[in-house]
Amino acid sequence: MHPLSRIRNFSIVAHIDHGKSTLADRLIELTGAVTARRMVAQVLDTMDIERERGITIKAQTARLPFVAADGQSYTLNLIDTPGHVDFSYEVSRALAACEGVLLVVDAVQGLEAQTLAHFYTALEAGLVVIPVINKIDLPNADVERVSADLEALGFLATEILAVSAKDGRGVETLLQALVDRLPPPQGDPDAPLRALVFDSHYDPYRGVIAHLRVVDGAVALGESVRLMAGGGLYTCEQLGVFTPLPVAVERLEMGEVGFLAAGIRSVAEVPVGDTVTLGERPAAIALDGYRPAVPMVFAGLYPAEPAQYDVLKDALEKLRLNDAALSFEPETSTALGFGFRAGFLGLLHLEVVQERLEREYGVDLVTTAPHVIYQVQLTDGSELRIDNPSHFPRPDVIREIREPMVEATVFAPGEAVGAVMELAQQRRGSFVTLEYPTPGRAKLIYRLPLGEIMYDFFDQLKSRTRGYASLDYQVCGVEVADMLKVDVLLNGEAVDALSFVCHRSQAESRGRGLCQELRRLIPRQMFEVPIQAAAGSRILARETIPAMRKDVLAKCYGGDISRKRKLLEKQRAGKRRMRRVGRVEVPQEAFMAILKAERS
Amino acid sequence: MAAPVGVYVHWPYCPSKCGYCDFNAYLLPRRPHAYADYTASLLQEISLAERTGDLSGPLQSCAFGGGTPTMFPVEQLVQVLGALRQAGLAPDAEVTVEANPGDLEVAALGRLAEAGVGRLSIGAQTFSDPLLKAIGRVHQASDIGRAVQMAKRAGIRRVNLDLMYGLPGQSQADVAYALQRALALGVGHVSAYALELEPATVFGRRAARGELALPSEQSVIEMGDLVEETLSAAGLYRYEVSNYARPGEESQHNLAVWRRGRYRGFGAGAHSFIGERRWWNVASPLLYSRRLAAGEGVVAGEEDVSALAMGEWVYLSLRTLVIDTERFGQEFGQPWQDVFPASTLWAVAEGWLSWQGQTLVVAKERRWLLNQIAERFLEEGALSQRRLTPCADAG
Repeated sequence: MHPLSRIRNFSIVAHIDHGKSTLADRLIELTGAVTARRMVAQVLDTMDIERERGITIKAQTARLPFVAADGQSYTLNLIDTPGHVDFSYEVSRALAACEGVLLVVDAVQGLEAQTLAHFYTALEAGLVVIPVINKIDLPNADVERVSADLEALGFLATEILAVSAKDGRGVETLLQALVDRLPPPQGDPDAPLRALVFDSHYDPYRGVIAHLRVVDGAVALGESVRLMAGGGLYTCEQLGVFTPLPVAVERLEMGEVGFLAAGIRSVAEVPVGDTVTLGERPAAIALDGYRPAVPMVFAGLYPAEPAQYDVLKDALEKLRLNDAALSFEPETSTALGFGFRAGFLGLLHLEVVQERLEREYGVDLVTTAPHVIYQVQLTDGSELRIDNPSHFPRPDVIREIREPMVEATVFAPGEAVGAVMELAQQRRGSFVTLEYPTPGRAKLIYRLPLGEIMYDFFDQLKSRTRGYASLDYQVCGVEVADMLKVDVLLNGEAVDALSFVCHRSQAESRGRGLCQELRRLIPRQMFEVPIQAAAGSRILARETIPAMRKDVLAKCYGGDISRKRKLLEKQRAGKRRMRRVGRVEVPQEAFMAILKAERS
Repeated sequence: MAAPVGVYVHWPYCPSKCGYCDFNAYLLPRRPHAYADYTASLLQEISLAERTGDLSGPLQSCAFGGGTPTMFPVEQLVQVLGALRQAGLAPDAEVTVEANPGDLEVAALGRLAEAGVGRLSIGAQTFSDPLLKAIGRVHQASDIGRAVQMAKRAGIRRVNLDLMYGLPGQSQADVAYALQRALALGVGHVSAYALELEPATVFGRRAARGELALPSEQSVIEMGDLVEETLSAAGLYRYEVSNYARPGEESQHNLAVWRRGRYRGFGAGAHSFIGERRWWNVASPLLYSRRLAAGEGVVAGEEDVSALAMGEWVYLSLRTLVIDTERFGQEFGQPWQDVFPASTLWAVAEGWLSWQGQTLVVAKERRWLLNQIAERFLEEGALSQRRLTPCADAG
């Protein structure tokens, strides 16, 4: 191990798609941490879903050996960070484990909302920021313009590096800049151990692997360790570093980045942001910044076939081992039967869990529309936290409802400002600021209800700005709001899984939108099916699915048999995937239809 | 192995392409030898099939379809029929030829009758000239009567008229008039098809763009009901979803298909079903001829339906609106109730089917929704077959 003066700990931060993972790959390849033969594109993004979507969900780390210009060899610890707003807390913890960051900006796209968010987070954490313009190999790269934008943020022109992670140009210079500009780790090597948990993952053989940055002191094999927030006491069974492949070591010392295994059974026992200390000689004060994961978005998860309930339960339990932010508890719906109400950090987190359940565990899922938590104060003074519209109390016992709010930063071309403001206002947003941090690009801040962001907000934003807007948001407090529960009646029967909560002013238009969307999604039945949206006893909207009158093939001769039989088989298979609600066959997509209701 | 009881020959050329047509049909070729080349290929495929034993069964029916078979020189049709006779087509087999009303000649029809063609199926579609024009037909209403007379004079005993309803711009009155004219011509068989929009047709594309003034679903149903009432009142009973005949004048070839009989198809895009294998030839006539000339196979795709046999049997039977459960038992050696307990219970309880002796009959008011029954039986058939023949996979 190198002396402290030759260790540099850093992260790469970037807006989605600006080439963070490709740059990480190139750094690993150039420093020879992984031989070219073992190099798979984007070694750090290990989950299928991450690689397919080009986003990083779980952070990974890699120790990179580097011989600098002074002829000395250095250890550069790359701490990869998740790349989505849902995981901003995880990002902040990963950054807390570093002394500096590479702020990567796409040479074509320029600054985006998350570029700025990351930049400010890094500044607030007191980190050295190295601005890096990536993708200079692209024919339409505009290094000059992007440099000017970065200078407008306060960087000197000479500080800005230009690289192509794809072909490797400028990457060597970048490695040298890490050595030159980043300070070595600071801390007290003799103090009791304090190590920051910035990530963890579950390994079926060794239990939870906690990813650590040792801030003070040291830890050795066989020592007893304690989680200061989690509370558990364990014996340190394995220590190691990521190269990025795990390699065992006997000791991790101040300033180092590595992992620890101690027979821990669930990641929930090792929350991200927690401090590891020694059992025998504990630190007095934990490291700053720990915050338990708080689910913000809730949705019902039901097996498409009731018989798969146990498979779903088992799959959720396994996922939770590896995902401390996922919470769930059993719930029952009259329409969907037995299932779970699950809590997520945000919409992307929900989607990732949904995809993993379907892909890795083979569960065919029906998901209900995502929902936020409403704090409902009743006239008797008690307070409820409602994460499921069907638990919403009757209006006459409600005194006050509070909804969660976010501060949303939208970064968009100047000419799209009007369109963005219009959307934000439609979604009950209140204007905070408008700035032009760089010429032609506007930064808008709005305070918006979190619930509104779920209704297709990002897609709408993209379509109003021809794809040029980016969004970042942070949860900030609650506000009193006049919310209303809207029920949906199919064939005269209320379907609990279709109920939703919205602001009184939107109830009618959303109710109508949902009815229209359901009419489109629900196939014709043997009888006429009325669809109604109602608030209490007041009908807000009504649509009708006419009865199926004609479903017969005009011809079926020798040459038609195979093709037409397949049509019928497909029709049947489609019905198999539907849920029967009362007498009506409802396709799975219908339970998410409210998200599209705003558009119709 | 189940042997074929019928043969089908595909003649792929047409004088024009109709807006609704998604058959494997091509506009009249410019090359002078196209007809002769194609016929030579047919003869070649027939003789190959003879050698491979595909035609081992007693062949009881033969259908010439298209396209428009009568566009080919009549001697070529006769030559192919001759080859099929040699290959085992029974002397008393029913031979049907499809024809357009506009391009028939008595002499040619006489030649076909002599060669054993006993049934002419005429594509009349409607008796309204503006409608005929609108759907892309080249004949006129007056041609239809003339064609029927010619067939009779030529000695062809049975004549079918194809009619269509639900056409763009068509009214109830048009349908009523067509039925009246057809009956007045004294034909013993009528096929009446509701227009189906196939995406890859002129009509399919126009409908997708909203450019087709189609009658409402309700009017189409009324038209279909009118067809059934009018034809049954005149003694033509409905023996299949879209087919009506005087008793004894049913199409033997098609009846065999709906009984899941085996058949061998010749020509471009033709389908065959022998044993439990369904296969189909390459669609393009040019490619078909070129492959045969090069000594290559012409099969474009195939399907083993042994695991689907029972369900498919019901799906086809349902075309005739009755299910003969006794015949099912004889054919598969499994009692009907063991194979389709759930679907039968459901269909009878919900009023889709009713028992008449050993036969299940489709309720009259549910005939418009036949797919709803068929898809259930297809599914249960496949499941039961897996259950009842557990060794099939291993074997």
